[in-house]
This record gives sequence, C-alpha cells and structure tokens, in this order.
Amino acid sequence: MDRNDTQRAPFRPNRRKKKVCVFCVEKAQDIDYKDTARLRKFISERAKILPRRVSGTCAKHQRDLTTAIKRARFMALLPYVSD
Amino acid sequence: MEKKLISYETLYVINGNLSEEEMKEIVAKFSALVSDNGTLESVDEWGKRRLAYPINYIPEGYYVLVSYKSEPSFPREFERVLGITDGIIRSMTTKKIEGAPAPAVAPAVAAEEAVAEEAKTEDAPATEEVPAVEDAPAVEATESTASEE
Repeated sequence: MDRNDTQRAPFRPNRRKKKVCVFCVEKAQDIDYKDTARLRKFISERAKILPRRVSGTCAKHQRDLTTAIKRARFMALLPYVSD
Repeated sequence: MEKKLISYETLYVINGNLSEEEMKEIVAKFSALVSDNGTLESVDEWGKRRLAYPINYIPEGYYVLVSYKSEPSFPREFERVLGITDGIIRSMTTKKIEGAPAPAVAPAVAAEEAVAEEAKTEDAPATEEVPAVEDAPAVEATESTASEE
C-alpha cells in the first residue's frame, strides 16, 4: 500500500496579510444605508457588492452591509449596474 | 396602556422636475403630518441630487430625511400617504437603533467634500501602517525557519 496519502502537506507560511473586518474594528452597531461615500468602497466598478474574500468583512457585518447597499440602491443613492 | 414611542427615520425623494414651491409644499405637508402624529425631531433637506439611475425617466430627485418619534402604528400610515402622493418617487422608513447615535449624514455637496477629506486623511495612516506590514512577513519568516529545523 502506498503511504503517499498519509504524507504531511508541506508547510506553507500564510503569505497574505490577514484582513480584519473594518466594521468590527470600529465596533459598528449598524451600517447606515445613507452613508454612500462609505458604501461605495464595498462595491465593484460594475456596482456589484464585493465578496467577503475581497472586502474582508466578517459574516455578520457582510449581511448588514448587503442590506445597507440594497436599501441605498432602492433609494437611487447607489446604482444597480454601472459601466 | 402606556403609549410607546419609537424613533424612526424616513427618507423620501421628491420628483426633481417639480418647481421649488411645489417641493416646499410637500415638505411642509409631511412635516405637519409627522408632528400631528408624533414628535418631529428634525427635517434634513439634502437638496437636489442626481439619481443613481433614472426613475420613470426622472433624472433628479429632492431628498428629504425626517426623523421623529411616534407610536409603532404611524410609520405604516405615513408610508401609505407617501405612496399615494404625486411627486414622491421613493420613500423608506427605518427604525433607529437605540444606543448608537446615528452619525450626522452629510448632504450631497458635503458628502463629496467628505470623500475628498477622507482621501487626504487616508494618506496619513497609510504611512503609519507601513511598519505593521513589515512586521508581518518578519514573523512569518521566523515561523518558517522554525519549522525547517
């Protein structure tokens, strides 16, 4: 029997800097949908909501952020699509 | 039973093609409606802003933010009246979170200035961050040598 499958994976140091949720840092209670200058940092050029792996927000704040962006979109403060 | 007052915030958008007088009329009408049914705290007129996308071919809107305290039954009525009023294109009511004082929302022009200011202030912390970034790879390097030994 091959023992290859039991071999340990080579150690790779984590090169990427660990991202910390910006909303956790400032202990945000809620994310304001009217603060468009802020929300704009979390949407892509095409006005899509950035994924957590890009923005580095925690799960809880990503949920709050998503609702805030969607509210801002409804009120025409942020675009749904843009080129 | 004692009446329970809750803080709410309503943002509504008036058709930007209307005349100044018509807009003033609408704002006055809703301010009166709110103070009749609760305690009006503030009326913040953001002024005319370009909509992020045209609504019914209207390119501009006049944003008004009203914050007030009222009974929980009132926002529904307020929204209903907003919905049937000509010239209102969008409206949204949210409950204010207690304990977290909402940051003063800058009106359209001030918001843009704030962005410029933020850009300026970002330059300063960026230089401070540099040593922190250098620290991180150093720690990683010592970790990797330790594993090799």
